Amino acid sequence: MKKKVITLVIISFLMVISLGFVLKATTKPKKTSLHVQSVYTIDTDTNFFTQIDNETPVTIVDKTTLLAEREYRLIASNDTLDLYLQDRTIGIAIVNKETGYTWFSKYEDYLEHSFTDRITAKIESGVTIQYYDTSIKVLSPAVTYFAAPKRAGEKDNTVKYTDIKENGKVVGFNAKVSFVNLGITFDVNVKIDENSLSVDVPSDKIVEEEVGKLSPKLYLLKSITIFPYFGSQNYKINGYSFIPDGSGALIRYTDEASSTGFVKRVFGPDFGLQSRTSFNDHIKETGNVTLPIFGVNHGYNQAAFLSEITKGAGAAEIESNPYMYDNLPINTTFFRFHTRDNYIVELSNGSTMSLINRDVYPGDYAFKYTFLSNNDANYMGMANTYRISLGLTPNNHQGDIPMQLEVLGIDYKNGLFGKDYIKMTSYSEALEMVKDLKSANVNNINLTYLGWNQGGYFNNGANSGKLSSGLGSRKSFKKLVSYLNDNDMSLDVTINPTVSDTYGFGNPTIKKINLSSFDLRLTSSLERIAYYNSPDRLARSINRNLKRYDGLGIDSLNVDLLSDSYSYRYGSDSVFRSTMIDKVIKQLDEITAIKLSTSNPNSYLFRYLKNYYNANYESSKYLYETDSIPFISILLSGYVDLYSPKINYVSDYELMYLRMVEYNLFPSFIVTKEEAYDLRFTNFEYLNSTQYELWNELIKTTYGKVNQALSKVYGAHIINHKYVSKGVAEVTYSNNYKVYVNYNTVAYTNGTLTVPAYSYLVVGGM
Amino acid sequence: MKKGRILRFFILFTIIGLFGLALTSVEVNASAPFKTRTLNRYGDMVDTQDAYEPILSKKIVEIGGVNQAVNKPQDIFIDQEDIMYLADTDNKRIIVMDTHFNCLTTFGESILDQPLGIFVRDNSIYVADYGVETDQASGKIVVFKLDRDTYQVDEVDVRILKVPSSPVLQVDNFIYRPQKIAVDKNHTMYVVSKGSSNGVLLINSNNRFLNFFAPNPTTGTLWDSVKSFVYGGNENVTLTKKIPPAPTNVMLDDSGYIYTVTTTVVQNSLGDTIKKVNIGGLNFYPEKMNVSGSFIDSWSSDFKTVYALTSSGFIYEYDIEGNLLFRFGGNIASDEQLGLFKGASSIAVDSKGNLYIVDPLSNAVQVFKKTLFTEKVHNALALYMSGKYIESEEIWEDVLRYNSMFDLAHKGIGLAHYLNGNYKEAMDKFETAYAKEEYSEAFWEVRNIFLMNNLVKIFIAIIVLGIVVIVIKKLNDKLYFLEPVTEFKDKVLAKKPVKDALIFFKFIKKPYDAVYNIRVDKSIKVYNGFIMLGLIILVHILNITCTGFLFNAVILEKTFLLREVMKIVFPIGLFIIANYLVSSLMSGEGTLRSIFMNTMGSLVPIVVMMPFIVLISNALTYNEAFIYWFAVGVMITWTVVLLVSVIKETHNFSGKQTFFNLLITFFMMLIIVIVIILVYSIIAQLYGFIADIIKEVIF
Repeated sequence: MKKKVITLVIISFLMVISLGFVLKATTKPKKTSLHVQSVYTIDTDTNFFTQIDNETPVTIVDKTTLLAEREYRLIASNDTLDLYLQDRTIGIAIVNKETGYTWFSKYEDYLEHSFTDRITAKIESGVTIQYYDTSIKVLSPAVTYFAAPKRAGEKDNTVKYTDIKENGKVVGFNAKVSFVNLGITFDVNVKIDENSLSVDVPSDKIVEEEVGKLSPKLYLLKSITIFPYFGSQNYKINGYSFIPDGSGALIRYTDEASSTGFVKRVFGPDFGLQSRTSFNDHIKETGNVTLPIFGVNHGYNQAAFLSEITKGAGAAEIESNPYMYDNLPINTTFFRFHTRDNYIVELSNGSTMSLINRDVYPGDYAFKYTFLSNNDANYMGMANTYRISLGLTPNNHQGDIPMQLEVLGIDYKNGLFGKDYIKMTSYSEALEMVKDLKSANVNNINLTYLGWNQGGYFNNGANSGKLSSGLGSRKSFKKLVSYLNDNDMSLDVTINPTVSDTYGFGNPTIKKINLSSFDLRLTSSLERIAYYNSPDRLARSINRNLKRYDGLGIDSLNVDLLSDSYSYRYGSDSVFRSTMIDKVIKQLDEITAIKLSTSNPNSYLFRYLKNYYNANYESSKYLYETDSIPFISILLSGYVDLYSPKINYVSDYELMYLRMVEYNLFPSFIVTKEEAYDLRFTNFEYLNSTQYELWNELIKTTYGKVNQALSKVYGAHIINHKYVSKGVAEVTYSNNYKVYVNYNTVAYTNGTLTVPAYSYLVVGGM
Repeated sequence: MKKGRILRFFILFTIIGLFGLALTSVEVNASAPFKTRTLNRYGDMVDTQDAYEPILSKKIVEIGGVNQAVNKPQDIFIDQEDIMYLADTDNKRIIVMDTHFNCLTTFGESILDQPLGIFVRDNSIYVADYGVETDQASGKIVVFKLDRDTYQVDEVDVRILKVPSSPVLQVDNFIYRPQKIAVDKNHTMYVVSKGSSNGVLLINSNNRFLNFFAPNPTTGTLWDSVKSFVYGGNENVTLTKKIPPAPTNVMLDDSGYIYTVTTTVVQNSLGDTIKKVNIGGLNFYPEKMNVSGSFIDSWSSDFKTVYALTSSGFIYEYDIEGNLLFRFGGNIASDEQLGLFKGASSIAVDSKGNLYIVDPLSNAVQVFKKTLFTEKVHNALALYMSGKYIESEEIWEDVLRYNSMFDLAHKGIGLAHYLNGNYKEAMDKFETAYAKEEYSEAFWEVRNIFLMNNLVKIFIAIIVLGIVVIVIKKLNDKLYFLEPVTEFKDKVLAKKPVKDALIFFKFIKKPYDAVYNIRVDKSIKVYNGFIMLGLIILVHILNITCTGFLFNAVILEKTFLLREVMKIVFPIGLFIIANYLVSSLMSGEGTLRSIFMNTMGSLVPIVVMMPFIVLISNALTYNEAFIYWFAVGVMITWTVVLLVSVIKETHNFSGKQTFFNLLITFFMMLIIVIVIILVYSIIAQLYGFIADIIKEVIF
């Protein structure tokens, strides 16, 4: 009896305590949102900035005698260009009649250096190839030059020239190039047309034959490089190479030696052929090359050219050698076209087979040089030239600049009993944010809704057109849409139609060239894997939801991973990257009813886009790069709206304001209603800084500052960009406004013009 | 008294956790080319915001109007006036610059052979000169005088200090090869000489050797100690002598602490390759810090944090207690990018907190600037370390905007709440920060306040309850008004299925009877055993979901149901099968059914006790943790004892037989597991083999 009473007392005592614990009150303190100031003194000499143009001219002399001396013969001539050919080396020279400047396909002064025979041949040769020797077990490409000195028992390489005639006039030549000792023969067609020189290599003319009578050997072509030293020079003249790295980069000719150079595949590595393993996981991945171009300038506003791939960009590589790269005192930039890549098949015991495809990649390789003179002979002229070939139409925007407000809707975390959905921002909360911003004069919001639909972004439902019941009713979603429409704002919802959640199971998933499944690690803290779909299904997977989108009032989509391009196998077909890109373009032509946006797109996507998100605001800052330039901004301002990366993750806001103003980038933020802490254990855990309450003030100030400058030039084109002083940019727009940005900690004064320290100034107007 | 204890608690600064998983992120595109890592609460390296940004890489210095390249620079030093001294080693000189790389003077070309280390104390510049390789007597310390008005260095009035005289150093193979140097306020020199495995040489200002300082311990493996144990006294066996690794570098801070770094092998990135030593030789850093094995330099900044540099260019930043704050930088093989290194030799920090890192392989000095995020963290940390939690709250709030997963910030805010007496908010924050010790303290306060306020009410309630129960009992004894309830209870209990199911509870009081019942009464259905199994699973789920925060180590987001069920079912199933197999050979009397049923029965203490343990875990703090662990201990002991006796009874074994039976059962379990693994791997290999054949055919 007594015992029972005591037990009862103890138990009830414990229960009361635990009850109190369970019922503990949860009052959350109010968050403060502090305004942050920073003083940053990044050196204006660094390649984060553009440098002041060196105005030293190059001396332009008539090279006719030199050409004759070196056995060049005139092949073709038009109003602007003369094309000369040196038969022995397939070297060419171009005389631009507008400026009188002569461009050589080799470093002009190479004979003055005492190079070895092989180096001399390397510089002289107009054609360089890489090849595989199939008789060797280990596949590794070797390199040879057309004019390479022959070794014992070898024959000279041969070339046969024929004139190319158009309308009865010789416009260029066809060279049947034969690497006799390797049994590799192909055609190179070189022609001039107005101010451009085009080069093409038809793939169906590539012949690979066995050589050697006693023990026949087969050599297979790995890559072709035409005119690798075209326009090469060094610090002895004033000039630069422009390379499409990040926002655009210049390598000015200096005597600073560099042991490394820029070698990147156009449109990024082809993960259908190579694996994604990275050994340097402490380094952030540098961006892909999104433009298949490069440019070279000699002399301040004197002579320049833009080189642009017109066919076969998917298999091309861009290479830029700074001074003393490979121990050569030459700056040069060129394209290399791969005709084959080796890929690796893994066997179960860990060993691998290294293989190459039997046939060369289908499709021709072609590129052209466009020669620019005088005031066009700079990166502005290069951008203008390239824009013409992109075929863009101006968007004629006006008024306040847009701001991307990316809102995260719903995601899940794993739990004992399956997925546990976490609401981060409901439709009505998103509307509240927009209203709040509108009240602070953020008048043009481009709302990007991430995780807006059933199951959120990380379900196969990323492509579903159904709303998420966890985020609110259809009515509240339509309320959001109609508010945005009424206030001339826009909405795009994020979808991911290029991948599937699961491999197979009715999904049109593709395989890598080595037949392994084509998986991709999504940007997810739960390390989610997705599988690429066949590009042929792209239009279908978007268009099938059109009705739903229409019903919800969605007229714009943010398509993730749209820029990913790769070689793949689907069924028994191998599709190589250039073909894949053609397929994507064909698919995009079929999507007409809805507008598209994406992050960091490749050049072939530009004309399909409404918004270009996550635009670079600097180059990759390799040490050999001397300047970052806003090449993409110059190219697209007034055509496609460019948005900055998420400012949440930028460490210096003040610097970023200035950079956005200089580069014509619109601000972009990612926010959630709930505390970012709630994202722990979800896929979006890496977005560790998103709560709207903490960010709204900064969003408002940022927009205010950037809009104040850029609203005056919204929809206009950049017609000039240069640094008028160290750290002071001057950007001229087509509507006669000039935007000055001063990165220095002291004010910049020039006559009546004063740009305050670490600030900007907009002058001009109609 | 209470407060002092709390402070002690809190100053025991636990691991910082910033959280944010390693990713190849497309979205996050900031200026630094490297990822900044930190330790999370589980001790894994994870990504966080950029802590530092590279702003400059300098390869060429303008000296006397001419651009000159540096050649394999090996050391850098910055004094209180922010004057920078660079040991331009292969040019045999020291360059004196301001922090914007404007050269003030150069000196030493005619005196120095191979300047590897430099340290400036007051107006004296100490240079550790390795000497020329061919001349063993050429190693020296050279002391120059700096004129602080003109920033010129007198190259005539120099002191050249050759090998210090001392009988200790008169050993056969001691060669004086100074590599690095630090000098304290009394101008006592701390010299790292090549291969001085006895530690840093302590030399006074008159060039007299005083002592070896801060030696590294010899690190022997287990195998080494076994060998020395076996061969210890044997004169015929000579064991290779273990020589401790020599310190690589030495540095001093303003408070007189000496930092040494050592390049040596570390396992699992844990070790003491960086030490913070006082003059008595005591290391203030923990023995197992998160370190790199290739540290070559360190610097203690004005912000009380310490930077350590590895030879491949990684920079580790530690707080005052040796907790890793950030790891950033790093090497790059094939490219040259601002912020990444080919190699690194030395680091120095100026008064503004900018980092200067020397890359001897690309002959460059890179400058890093801390980001606003780091600025905030440093400020908050400074307040936090001096116990000013309330003042630090606002800065921590700001840190959270940059990274809401920053555990230390949550903890800092929690401490501010705690000191303000907002214990419930503090508990919330500590839970978020996963700071269990602090949570326990705050909970203690909350519970205390609750008890203070409600103790009377609770006692009254208990007394009232007790009286009511007693009254009811008494009344019932007279009036029998509870008769129908009792009758109903008896009726239900008398029903066969219920009775069968309740047989397991007989294991509590009379286990032998229960075992006997199960053996004899074949009508007790086997499904009752499965119900019991279900209950155990249920109790396990209850345990991982409802155990109080302080006693729960399970991360629910990383568990899933099937695995938790298998954790219960698999070992129990394995045990039953193994025991059945073994016992049938050992002529045990138990059938599979009885083994199963009785084993389940022996687990009944878990079912009975676990809910109570879970309940009390929600009411206890770490002060009363022993109650929790005692209860757990009782439960386990009871279960084990019950299991042994039940097995004994089931098979009708003697004590000795039971012991061997269980021993062999566990052995059998092991064998079964091995067989399962073997079969699995054979099938996997077969599959791989077939897949390979198919691949070979296709390609």
